[in-house]
Amino acid sequence: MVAGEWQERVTRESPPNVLIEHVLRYRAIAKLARESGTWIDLGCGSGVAAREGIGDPLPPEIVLVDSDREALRSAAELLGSTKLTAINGDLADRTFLSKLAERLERSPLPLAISAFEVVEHLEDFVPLVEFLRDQREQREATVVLSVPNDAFWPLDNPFHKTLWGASAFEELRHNLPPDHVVIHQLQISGSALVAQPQLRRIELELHARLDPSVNHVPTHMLAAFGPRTDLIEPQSAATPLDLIEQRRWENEREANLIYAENLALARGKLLAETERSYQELRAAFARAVEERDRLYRLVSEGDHRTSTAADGSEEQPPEETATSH
Amino acid sequence: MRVAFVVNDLQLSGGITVVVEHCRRLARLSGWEVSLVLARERDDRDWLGYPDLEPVRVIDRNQAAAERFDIAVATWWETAYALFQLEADHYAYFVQSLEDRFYLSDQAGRKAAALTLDLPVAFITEATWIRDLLRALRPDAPCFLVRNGIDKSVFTAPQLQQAMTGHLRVLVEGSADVWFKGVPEAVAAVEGMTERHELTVVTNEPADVAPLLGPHSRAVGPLSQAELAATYRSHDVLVKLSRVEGVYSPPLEAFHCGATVVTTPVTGHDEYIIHGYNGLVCEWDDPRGVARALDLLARNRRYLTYLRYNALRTAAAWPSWEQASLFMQAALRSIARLPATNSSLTGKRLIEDIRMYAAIDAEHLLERAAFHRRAMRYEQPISELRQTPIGELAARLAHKQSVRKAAKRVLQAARRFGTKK
Repeated sequence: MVAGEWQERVTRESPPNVLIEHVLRYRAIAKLARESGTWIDLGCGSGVAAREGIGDPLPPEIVLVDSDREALRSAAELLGSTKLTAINGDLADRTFLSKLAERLERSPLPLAISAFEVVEHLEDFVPLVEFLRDQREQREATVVLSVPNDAFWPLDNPFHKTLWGASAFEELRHNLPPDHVVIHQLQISGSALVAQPQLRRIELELHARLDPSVNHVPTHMLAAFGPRTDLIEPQSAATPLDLIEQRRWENEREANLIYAENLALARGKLLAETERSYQELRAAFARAVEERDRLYRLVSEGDHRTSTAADGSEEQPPEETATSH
Repeated sequence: MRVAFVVNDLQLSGGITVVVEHCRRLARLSGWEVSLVLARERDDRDWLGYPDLEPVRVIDRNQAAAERFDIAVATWWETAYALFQLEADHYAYFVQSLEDRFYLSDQAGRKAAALTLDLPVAFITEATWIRDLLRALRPDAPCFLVRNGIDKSVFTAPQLQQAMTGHLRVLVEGSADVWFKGVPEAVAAVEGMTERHELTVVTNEPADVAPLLGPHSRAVGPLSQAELAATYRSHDVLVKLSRVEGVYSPPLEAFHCGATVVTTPVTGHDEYIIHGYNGLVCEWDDPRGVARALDLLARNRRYLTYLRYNALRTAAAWPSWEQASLFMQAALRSIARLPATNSSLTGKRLIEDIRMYAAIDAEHLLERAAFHRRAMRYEQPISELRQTPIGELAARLAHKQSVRKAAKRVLQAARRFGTKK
């Protein structure tokens, strides 16, 4: 029911809280991308989040890669730059990745590679992880990748080929260069007071205190490696929630729950009534059988007396009658 | 990539199943040749558990010794002894548990198993706690974490099936004759419940468990994986009171089928069990506590549903075998990228030494056990004598200084007399 409403690719219509998560990751690497000879965005999608996150000026040379041609075209339009290459291909395919590596040999250095929310969409992510590691080792590329924390999503994502959580991320880290750094993306909830009517655009500052003694569960886990990871900037952002949409979704869920509980209650009552009726019928049936047997015995006795009187023989007691219940 | 996994045999067991699941998937990869190398002599019984291993090669140790592999992987401490008989560029050790703990302190296997962790190999392990321990023990050795997958086509729960009233359906699983599985303890704890319940014990030896069971209990087994999954689905809670576990798979399988767990805080439980969220973690040696936890679940069906639902959600985030084998593939590829070491000779010598000293140790332990038995033969009559009036009198006199001095003089005189004679 809800799975049908999943929209995995980020578009302008994506919920603001989802969009801001994507934008923030690109904002974190904006400086790294801009100060690189080439920025490569693997699994670029529609480019909406990248355009907003990277901002202006754009990196001098951009390489976009995605398996969806339409999304790739949209990203190329949004990130229109003097030197932009859009490449359509499957990031799980070793042959494609070899060709991509050959293509990148001609790209100006230094390289910055992002692969946000890509790994979980691949049937086989091992070739991509090896490709990223090779780029770091052979081309001194700085790489940033992210995976979602599926374990904390209440619903199964039908688009994810593999499931990710803290443990799976740990498994992945064993296959990354040992100097990699880990970044957790945390969800922050907040509130704002805004005088009405609001006549102009307002920029609100975000103040949030994160206590190291508290285990803040990440929504996404990022890993970065390469010589220029220090250019990745810490980021935080907040966005007003679409309370109307959120209320619709939450109320639908609540309504479904209430409906299911009431249905269960009604079925329970019906079941109890049926059980009671069944017991009454069973008792009535037992009484009817008893009455039948009594009558049968009376008839048998009557028959016996009649035949004895007709024969003039000695009276014998009737035989025991077996009845089945 | 030519990879050899060394196994003792191919008899049905949890550890071998894990190796076989990985091998089957790795062997389907383009450019991979995966072999299962049998460290022991082949036996017809070996093939019962895994009839269809294609495209995995199954070869014996001698055949494997004539070949060369990119990576050779030991899968159990005893197989480490055969590992260095294979020619390979890299050697790895797939550690599924700290196997020395399977043996009691006076068993020779304990030291021999522990020593294999000193071998010059790269480690692959299934559990975070083992990874942390290996890192502490062997900071020099590469270590990769590859969690076990779950067969999501077998261990499934289309929907939570739960009786809102009636008996709590309790399941105990494990080999009753393996001391660290705690099966008799679990049965005793369940039988201590005051609320209505039905107990099913899944074990390889149902007849051994039958005498322990009450009127609402039954023992079944051995079961196939599909039968085991169906059994999990028709129960509310699994009770496991293990003392030693590696990755602790049974509760995870139960979670996939919608059952919660009452468990001891055994190693591996904290990989996915959260007390009060998807299961209940009880103290060690606390059968009454286990029984009370089960009584609580029997009385409070809303809480039971909460735990079972969260167990299902936990299961949903656990990797399938397909995903697990991707990490195994990644780990093996990472090991293959490491500089080739000349660990074959070192390993061979080290393993020969370990084998020799383990054999000596085993002899010493056997001798010690024999001495212990002989000593106990004398201990018994002495203990009986001490309980007689004469024995008690002798014990009292032995405490007196004058008596001890006199006895000493008598003994010295006796010795002198013996010498003169």
